[in-house]
Amino acid sequence: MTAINTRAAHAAAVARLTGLNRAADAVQEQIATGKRLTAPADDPIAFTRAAVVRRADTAATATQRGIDAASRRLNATDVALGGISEIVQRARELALQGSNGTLSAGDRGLLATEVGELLAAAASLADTRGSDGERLFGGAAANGPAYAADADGVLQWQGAGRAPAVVIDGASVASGIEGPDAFGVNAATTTGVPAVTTVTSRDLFATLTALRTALAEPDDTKRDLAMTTALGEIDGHVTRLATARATAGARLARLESETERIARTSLAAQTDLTKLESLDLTEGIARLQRLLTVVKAAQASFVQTSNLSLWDQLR
Amino acid sequence: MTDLLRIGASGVRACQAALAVTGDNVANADSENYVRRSLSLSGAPAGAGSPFARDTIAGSGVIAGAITRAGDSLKTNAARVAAGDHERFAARSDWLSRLQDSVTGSALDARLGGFFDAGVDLAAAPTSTAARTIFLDRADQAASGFAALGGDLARLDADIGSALAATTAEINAVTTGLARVNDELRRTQSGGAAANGLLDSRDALLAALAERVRVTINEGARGAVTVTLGSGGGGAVLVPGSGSAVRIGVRDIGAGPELVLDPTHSAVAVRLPASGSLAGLIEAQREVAAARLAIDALATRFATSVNDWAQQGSDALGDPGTPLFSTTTITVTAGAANAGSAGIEASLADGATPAPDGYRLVRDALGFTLARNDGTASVTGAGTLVLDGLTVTPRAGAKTGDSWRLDPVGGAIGLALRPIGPAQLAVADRYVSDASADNQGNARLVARPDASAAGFAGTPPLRITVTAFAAGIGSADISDPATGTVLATAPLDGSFVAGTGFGFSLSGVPAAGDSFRLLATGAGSSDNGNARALALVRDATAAGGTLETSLDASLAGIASRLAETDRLAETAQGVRDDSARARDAVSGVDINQEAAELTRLQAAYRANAQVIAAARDMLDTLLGIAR
Repeated sequence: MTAINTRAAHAAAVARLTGLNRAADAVQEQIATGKRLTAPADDPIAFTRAAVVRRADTAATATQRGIDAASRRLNATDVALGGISEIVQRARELALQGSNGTLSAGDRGLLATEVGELLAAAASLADTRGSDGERLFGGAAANGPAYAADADGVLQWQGAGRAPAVVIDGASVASGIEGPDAFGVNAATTTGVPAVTTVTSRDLFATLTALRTALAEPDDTKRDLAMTTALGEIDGHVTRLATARATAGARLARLESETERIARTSLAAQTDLTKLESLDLTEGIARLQRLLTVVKAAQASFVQTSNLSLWDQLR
Repeated sequence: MTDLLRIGASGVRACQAALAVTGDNVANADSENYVRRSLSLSGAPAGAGSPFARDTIAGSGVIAGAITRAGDSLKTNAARVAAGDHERFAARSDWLSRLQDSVTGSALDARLGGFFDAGVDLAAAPTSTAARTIFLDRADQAASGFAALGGDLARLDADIGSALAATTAEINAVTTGLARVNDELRRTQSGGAAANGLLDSRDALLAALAERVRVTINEGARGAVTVTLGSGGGGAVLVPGSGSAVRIGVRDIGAGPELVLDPTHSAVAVRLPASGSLAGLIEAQREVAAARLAIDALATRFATSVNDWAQQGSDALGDPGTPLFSTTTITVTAGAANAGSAGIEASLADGATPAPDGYRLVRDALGFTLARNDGTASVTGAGTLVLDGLTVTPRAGAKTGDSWRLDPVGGAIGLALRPIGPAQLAVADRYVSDASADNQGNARLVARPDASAAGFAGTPPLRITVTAFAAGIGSADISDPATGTVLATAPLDGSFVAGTGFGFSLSGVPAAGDSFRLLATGAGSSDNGNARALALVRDATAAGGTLETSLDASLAGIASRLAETDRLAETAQGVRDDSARARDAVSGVDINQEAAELTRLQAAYRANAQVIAAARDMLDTLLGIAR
């Protein structure tokens, strides 16, 4: 026969009750926080996995902010390029009108004035700033004007480098169009002795300046030649601007699809996190109920058994 | 009749003694370490029937023998061993969960993630002062996260050290007490109340000892014990059968804590028995040391790679980037024998390199002297002292002879953000390049600083014009854009073309006649090349993976060891409870059993009293005949 040590039996019963209370408390905490994992040691593997998923999700949110900024910039670029395209179309109409030999010198003077206005408007649009005050067409040189007049009064690109890029999963998407890509470049070659400088290409602003000068040219032959050259160049500028807008549009579309992908990935990450960390509430509440029932039963049986004593029978 | 009277009297006496023992048991039902006593009764020896001793007809009654302690030494020992095993896991679990709380509480993973995410935001708004300020704040948070965690772990290490010292002090007190109890036991007649009380104290001390360290116990004459360290009895003797106890201590001579015998005289290292709270503490301290090592390595790696990254770029003023983090700080330790109460403030100037051996500040008659520990330099003065960029300001209250140790520390504790402004953040690449809009090919030119590059002479701005290119190989002229002078001709095969302190490479397919500009990044650039390169720092893998996965692995390692320890502790607790129950079933007091015993002894007492009454009646009857 084994004797029951009164003190040990009492201590063991109390320890069992404490253990049950602790278990109920843990389930209660899980229900209150909605989380199955409250400390890494609860499930080290799931906890590490959850940390990785959460980090990737936060990083994706940051990437999304980058995409949003790049989209804003590209949209602003597109609006500016649209404005300049309209200006170029108007300049083309004016050039065609000016090519008409029946116009008087006074009429051509009016046209030249309008071309001057168009030039100013185009120069102003080419210096458009983004949300942080950076020049949209300046490439990486953002703190000065994108175009400025040189000593001869000809607008020259002042930018340098390329527009900042946004990196999405290792691939980078440029967030802007550099001035020369949209408006062309001024180039000239110098050959022979004595040196003869031949202009090989003109940018949009130089073309508009040349058009204005041509309209004011009194000599018919020279004017016709200059007008023809200007018209040809304007056609080139229209194409280049259309290409630049298409490039900006393609980049925007790329960013748009990346945004959708990030949203889907984020949803998957949330699902993963729920699986890894979250408590099945129904199951948790049922478990708590079960534990509480056991606690009550244990308390009642403890009181009953500790009341049983031979000493009560000794009179 | 007198025989009967004597027999009855002996019975009454014996029952009285037995009742006293039972009463003692009941009274001590709730005393810890009390072992149930029982009185052995035996028939008194009859006379030999010789001329000197009369042969009694009916025996000589009963005599109360020794009071014996119930108890099964095997079960008691099993309970002691199980308690020690449980204490080991409980101690380890306690400190490991504190370690886990320190690491998770520092939120270092979130801080690191926040730093790198702020880098992405910075790349999205390279010229925004707000984005730069936020990035610097995140960098500060990451650095202070490392420093706080490093400090927490150092404190945890020190706390475990105190707990170890307290535990060894307790063990030494217990073994000293045991040696004294051994002495008393040898002097005391066994079987008496005094001896039994001593044995209870001995068992209590042994239980306390076994909870702290695994011991083997050999019981000798009269219950005196020999206690040896470890299991199997072959270990070092802690308490000899006679003589004084051997003290133990814990020391750390660089390779982690170890257990030593007689630490103050001739220290002998002994193997640590894998049981008891001492073992749990030593194991926990090793875990904390490993975690500190891992976090320090991670902090150093983080600081080094981020500083390298920052120096690759160009800041808003167009200057090369400067390191973001300082990696050394100064800790001040007041001398143990300082008589004064003065505190001192020490700070290290930005960019200062303190002497690796550290410094010593001494209050002397003239003022304070700050000296390098290697003795190569010192300064003396009354107020603030400066040496090697280390500024020390003593507060009032120092007494002559007081001293302080100032040590440079690196690792996690040493990590701090340097005082740099938003404009000094290197967001842009050092060089920018662009391709001429007339280029026919799709090549791009990328330049980067390279301190070791020693190729063509000339500094940006440069123009690179492709002179020939076919089948992946070609050549280019490197010229000065202002004068058109060709400075050098470089072969083009996709490889790095070294200049002086920098170089470039051409990717993609150029066409002959294509030209590129290579420029030093100017002030206020909106280039975000270097900010984008921060992603490479984040993704760079070394032993243990990226910075963040290394941190995860450290935490997961701590967590899984804690989870394992908790499981072992739970099992050990079950074993401890079971073996304690088995021991108590023999040696503990069951008050119901005592109640039954009491009833039985009361009846026996009454019966013996009845025997005396019968003897008296017989005597009365006999005397009545004579009347």
